[in-house]
Amino acid sequence: MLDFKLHTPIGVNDLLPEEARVKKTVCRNIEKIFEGYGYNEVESPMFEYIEVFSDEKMGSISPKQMFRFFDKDGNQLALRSDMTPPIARIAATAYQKSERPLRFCYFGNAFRDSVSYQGKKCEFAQAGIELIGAYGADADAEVIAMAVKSILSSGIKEFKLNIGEVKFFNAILAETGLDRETVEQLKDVIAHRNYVGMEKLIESSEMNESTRTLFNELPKLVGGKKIIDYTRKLTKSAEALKALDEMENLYDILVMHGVEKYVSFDLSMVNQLNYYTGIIFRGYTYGTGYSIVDGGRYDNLVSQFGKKTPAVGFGIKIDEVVKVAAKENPSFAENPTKAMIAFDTRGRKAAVETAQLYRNAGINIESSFITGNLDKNIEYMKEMNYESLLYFKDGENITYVRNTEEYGIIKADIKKSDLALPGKEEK
Amino acid sequence: MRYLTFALAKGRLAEQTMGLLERIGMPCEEMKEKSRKLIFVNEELGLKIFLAKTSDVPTYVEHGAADIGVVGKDTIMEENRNIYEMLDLELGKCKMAVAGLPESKEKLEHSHSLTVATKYPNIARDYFYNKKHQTVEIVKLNGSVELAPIVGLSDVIVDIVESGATLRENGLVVLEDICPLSARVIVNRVSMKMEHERIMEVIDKIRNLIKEENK
Repeated sequence: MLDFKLHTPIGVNDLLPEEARVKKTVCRNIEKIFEGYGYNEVESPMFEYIEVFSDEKMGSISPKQMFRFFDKDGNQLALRSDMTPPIARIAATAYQKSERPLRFCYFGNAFRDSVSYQGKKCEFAQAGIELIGAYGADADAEVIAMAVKSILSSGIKEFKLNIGEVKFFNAILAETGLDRETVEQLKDVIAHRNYVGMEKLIESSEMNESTRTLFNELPKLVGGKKIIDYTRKLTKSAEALKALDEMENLYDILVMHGVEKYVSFDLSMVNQLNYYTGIIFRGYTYGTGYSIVDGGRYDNLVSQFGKKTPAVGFGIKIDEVVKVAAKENPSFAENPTKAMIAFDTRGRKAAVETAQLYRNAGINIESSFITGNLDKNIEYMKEMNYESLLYFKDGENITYVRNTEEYGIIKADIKKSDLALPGKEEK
Repeated sequence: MRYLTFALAKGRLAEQTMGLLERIGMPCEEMKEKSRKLIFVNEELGLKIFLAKTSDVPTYVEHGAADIGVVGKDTIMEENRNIYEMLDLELGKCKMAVAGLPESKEKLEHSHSLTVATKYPNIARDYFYNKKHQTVEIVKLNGSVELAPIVGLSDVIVDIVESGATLRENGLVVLEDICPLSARVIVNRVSMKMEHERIMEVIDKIRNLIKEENK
């Protein structure tokens, strides 16, 4: 029989020290980037009333994908399925009167139920920012630059960030002149990346030739600034042209931020979360089949919570980044502890005091519980891959052991007074 | 250069696809030899090709284990994965249909307690629930679905119909068409972005070849 207490449920997993270290390093590096731009961390609860996530304008995550339960009064609750709506709620309620831009960042887990046996997770670690209360290309550029720099801080070098524009896409949809039902169908096939379905729909619908060409070329409209010039020739829609101008302007500012190398425009991009209203972007790298960062402008979301204010932000899929970072940066998994201390009974007091001195100075040191046996401690040291061991024979005499790659184990008998103890001089 | 990895659905479709790849100048000689190898490489062009069970092809592509896959539309619909569907190869054309004994037509139209046997429960559910707004009981089978109405397991079946010969020989008829089917080229989402030019080049070459050959 399946002994449940020995297993984790499908879709969630433990992190063992090595993986946890990589994750911690990745998150710390990202945190430094966020702080560098003056963003302030906020925390929202792990679960909320389901309405925060389930309203149609909040996102495309159906309640079926949420982990739902009830409180004592019978209200429906859901585990946080998306990090952004709770932060929009915070901005609209706690900062209702504030006029200044709000710069928030977060680190936390989101939960989505997924189909069994597709190898998909139900718990996702995310890190991200939301810039609330700022319109315009400068705000968009800051957020995109931060997304690029956050990914680079994880040691991922081969990385692409694709930027699309919801306004452009809506404009060319309107340009088709098709009835609403067909437009919805068209939007749906493109959102599902079903280009075969799109071609068939385009061929069978009435529209002028240039619009048809534009849609047929859509999957190819990916690239740098040149693609914007190229696309200008394919559309006559004033709205679409305006959106293209805005994208060009954004590109120029991204050059000033020094991130243009990582950025491409992708005009076929469609918003999958219903709340995006302007730019949308997604970042990709080798080594994972999924995007590693998703973001965009969502000027109508915060108003769902009662405050009319624009917003732009992104979320990084930490688990995917960690997967790639672990391969590219073995040092991220390295144990920061490299030394241990052990003793014979007579040396206990001196050992405990010395270890404390090192720790106070910020040096990691493990205290061994193997008392009175130098050889066993050396064995343990090798197993843990520590570099040095201090073995206190008594209050004064120490065996200093180093585990070197070149010469193996080296031992030396020293006195306590020989130790270069941190903070010794001040005493 | 990174390898561009193809996942092909085992069987005739894989052979036909290999033919297409050869005609656009991307041959894989290794595959012509008889062997038990599962993965074949063309070092010169940086290609890797492997054969997989049909229903697993979208899984390999979604996770990025393969950049490009070739598989029937039926599998794409049934698996409903997050992938790009880029090109209709117009190979293996057939259709998804509702079939049954001729006398079950009446029941199909009016019954509230219809039982449907199929290898494709998702396609069947989508068709009856979302398109026809009809509540039905779906029974999943793994093969020889035609048996189900004959032995009384179900009223109708949802299955692929090619020539209709198997149906006819068992006294069954097509009652409703669901959709046409053919082989498609699918692409992983990240590969589509990271290797955009290389992948679009392959797709354009195949597209032009199909156009020319169908002239």
